[in-house]
Amino acid sequence: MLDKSLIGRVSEPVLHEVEKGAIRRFAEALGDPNPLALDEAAARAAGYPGLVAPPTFALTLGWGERFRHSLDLGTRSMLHGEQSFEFGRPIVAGDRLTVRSKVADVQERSGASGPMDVIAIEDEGRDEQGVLVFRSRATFILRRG
Amino acid sequence: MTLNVRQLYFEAVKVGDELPPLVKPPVDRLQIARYVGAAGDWNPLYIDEPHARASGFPSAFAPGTIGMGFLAELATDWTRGARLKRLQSRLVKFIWPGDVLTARGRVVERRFEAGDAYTMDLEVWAENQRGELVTRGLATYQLFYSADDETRQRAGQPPLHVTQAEEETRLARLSRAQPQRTPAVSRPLQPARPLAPPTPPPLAAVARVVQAARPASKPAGGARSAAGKPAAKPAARKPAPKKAPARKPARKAAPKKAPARKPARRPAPKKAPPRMPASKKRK
Repeated sequence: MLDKSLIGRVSEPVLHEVEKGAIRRFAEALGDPNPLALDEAAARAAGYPGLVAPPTFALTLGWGERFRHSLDLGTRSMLHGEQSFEFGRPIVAGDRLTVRSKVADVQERSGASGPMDVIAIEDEGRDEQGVLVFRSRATFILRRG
Repeated sequence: MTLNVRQLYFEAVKVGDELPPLVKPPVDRLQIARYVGAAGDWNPLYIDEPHARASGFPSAFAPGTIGMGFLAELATDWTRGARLKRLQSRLVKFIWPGDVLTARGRVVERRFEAGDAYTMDLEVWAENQRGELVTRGLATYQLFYSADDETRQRAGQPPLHVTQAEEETRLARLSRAQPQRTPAVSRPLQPARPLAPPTPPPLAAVARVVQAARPASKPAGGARSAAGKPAAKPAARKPAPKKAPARKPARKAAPKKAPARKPARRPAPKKAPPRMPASKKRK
């Protein structure tokens, strides 16, 4: 079972520079034809300083491998169960966002295949002025055995 | 390309409005690899077939968030010009290579929030080609009330102030000038179900949300099945007692199965599967 004392563990702040190529690749991988994410001229015409990231692009800025490894979750299968975002504003190319992650919750649940551990991670991204850009909460299920 | 041609304004939104469904191409292994790379989500279960099998899965599978991405695409396209405040989703079922997902949505709430924040909630969900609910979520948007409101706000003026009462009065006046019509009754797809935080706090202002402590999410399983049942049960119960006695009251089990088997092959895909099947655990 996962250690409840993980709750409240926070990551080092990580600075992400949001690159336009990353936004474009993400939209293309989803097959999302929104010109705001693919065409800079279109994004500018709509009043944005650069390409606008699709909402779920915030996933790419979430908890990094370093933090994940520091939690020592083992090698069990990890399933993404729930995901939510709050946005202060859209994420755009050129943003420099500082992201902090934390373990929001650790629980034990009984599933069809026996007991499972559930861990909830929250990320918070702020811009250089310290204004909240996004907040994310992800729930992962770790199978036993 | 002009982007502001199609703008969605609050005054034009009605609860019950349905979004045109978005049918995505099959989620093939190439897309999974591309998405995993673009999202930086290197879970081996998505890309390492032998590892997935050794872990007890029939094959590798797609990240559940890809379905959430499809929901966001659907909602973003429909609400063009609106500001996404919140997007929540539950990744209900596995997405297997080759699955064809259809994203759907409808307006479930529309409210006048403090500070003239005109807000709506969209219920969004994705089904696979078997009619199974794969991903479901709720998207909350803030909109301009009207073109007039947008013009004002873009010019740096405060938002247009419209109260619910004022809107109702105006609509009533308009409808009096029109001949009486029976309102089109659209069958609700499914009563709205709360997601992880049972009642999202009203997003009056971003600042408030930032400060607000979020309610701890409840165990998903319990909330899900509790809310899912009432919707599914009455629908399933009704036709059964009607048909059973009509055919052959003598036997119960046999006649029920026999006619069901024959057409099973063909009408199965025709017959619209329950749009929002009571979601259970992942299978």
